[in-house]
Amino acid sequence: MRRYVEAYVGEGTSGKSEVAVNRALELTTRGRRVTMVDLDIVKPCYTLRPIQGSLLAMGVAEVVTWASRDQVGMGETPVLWNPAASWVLQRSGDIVFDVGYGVEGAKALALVEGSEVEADLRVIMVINTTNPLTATVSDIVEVVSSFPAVHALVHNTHLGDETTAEIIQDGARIVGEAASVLHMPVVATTAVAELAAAIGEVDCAGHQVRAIRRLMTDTFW
Amino acid sequence: MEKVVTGEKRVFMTGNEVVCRAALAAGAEIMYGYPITPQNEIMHYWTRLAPRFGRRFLQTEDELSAGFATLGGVLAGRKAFTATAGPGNVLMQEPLAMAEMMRLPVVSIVVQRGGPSTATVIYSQQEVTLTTFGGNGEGLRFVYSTASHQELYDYTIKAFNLAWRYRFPVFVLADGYQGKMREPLTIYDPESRGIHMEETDAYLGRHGIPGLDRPPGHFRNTYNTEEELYAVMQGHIAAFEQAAEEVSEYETEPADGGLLITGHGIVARAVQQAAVQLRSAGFPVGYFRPITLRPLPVGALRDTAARHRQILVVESAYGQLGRLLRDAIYGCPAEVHALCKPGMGVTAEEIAVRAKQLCAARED
Repeated sequence: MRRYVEAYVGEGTSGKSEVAVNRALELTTRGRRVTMVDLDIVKPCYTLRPIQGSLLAMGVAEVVTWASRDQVGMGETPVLWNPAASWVLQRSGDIVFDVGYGVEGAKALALVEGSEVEADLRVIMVINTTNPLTATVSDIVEVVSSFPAVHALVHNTHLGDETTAEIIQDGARIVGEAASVLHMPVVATTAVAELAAAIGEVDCAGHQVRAIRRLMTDTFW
Repeated sequence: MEKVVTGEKRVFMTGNEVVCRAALAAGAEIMYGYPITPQNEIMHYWTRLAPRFGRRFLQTEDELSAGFATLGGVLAGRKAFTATAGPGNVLMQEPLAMAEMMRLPVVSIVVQRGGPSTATVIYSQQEVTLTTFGGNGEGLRFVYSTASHQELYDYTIKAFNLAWRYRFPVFVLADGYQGKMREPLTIYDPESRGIHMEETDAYLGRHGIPGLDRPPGHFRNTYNTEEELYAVMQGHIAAFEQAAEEVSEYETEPADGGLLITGHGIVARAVQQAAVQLRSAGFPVGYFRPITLRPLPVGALRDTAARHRQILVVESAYGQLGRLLRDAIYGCPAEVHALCKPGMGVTAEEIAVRAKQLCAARED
């Protein structure tokens, strides 16, 4: 059986954590053993940690992160790294990494033992075209090229509660074009269930549409 | 100067990024800063985006230097700003008091964190006293307290104009929640909305020979006698009082004879939500939100307070807004109550619970 090892990277507000968490749950629902790994050393305390309990309750096999109370140090400068994350590729089953934002955030992957030679590892960049940093084809090409080794894109254009199918379709065109310039696949367009249903199985650029639930609303930011 | 935004665009981003984009759109030429959470991303995004538009950045060795360097930029005629939080805001009071004395149009974005001291890196409204009346002096500064990403954009742009129009330091008082959270907003080029951006001019290094072509530039923060200082301060205070009329802003929906809930910044969102819910449930509840904490909209506040029997001041601090409001409405017969959660967020639900108790007690 193929094992999925996926790391979600991207700019702030792209929806990395949301996409990663939903992917972990999707794989879990298929009966697979999934380990979620918190690699966010940019904003370490506030993303996956508040929902680790509910992820476990929903069937994710393990969430590798610290509970904030277990950390040594203050505020955003604690001892960040949970040593279990260093050796997580030695585990069996699927691995989904939630990585901190930006190029610097993505560098945390290098701290995972064996990540440089892991054949199954796919680094997937999440793109939201309503963030001005990734609003146009040339912006996206520039940003993706500045990241270390990205294998594929996920198109996750949204405006929070104001998202419409039209906004997503506009984004799909832009991300589709950028992906062809980059010679990279777009593995999915993600949208909340209601909008995913409105768009259909594929969006206007031919990307497969993946329905997601908004779980990060229960986290800090 | 190259346009940062063309037309209008609905976007999704963090508040810190919003501040950076607004400063760019306002034509800010240089940011001086020193890192402190939760404002760091203002610097991060500025250093990333500013070079694209020929703008500049200097990281200094601490906040004292960042503040004074901002004054230097302004003296050279540059539209300059800084951003800080908590203990950084404390250190910046000395340079900002100098800006007050010398009437320098310095803009400072304060993203409040928990206090006292380094406390938390997250959130509070505990920098109200410091930002309105910090420094040795008379608090001759303008302070906007924003409640949304749209306001962060609008008021950051406005802050630069206010500073250069009236020549007093201007603060945009945000908080860590606003800095880090994400929500949609519309970004725009100010000129395209008919917002004229004030021209800057240099205090130092002007053309011409001092004494022949122009008076010498003699900008002072030190005076020899009490009388000299007193005369200068009379002028500054008069200018501030005059500007105060034009500058002060607020939002209100009164409920005559009932309870008036007040709050500022992000807490005002919960206040407003609670007031709307309670009114639709039949409770006589209104709200008042000062947008400028300095100067406070004193006239409107006194008029509104006088129409209510009770006032509830809600804040993520231990009475800092309360002190400003009590002073402004002194003599008003309404009973003043407080809901204080220093360093903690306040929800509409907990405000509603307290408001209902106050309404019930009044009926008894």
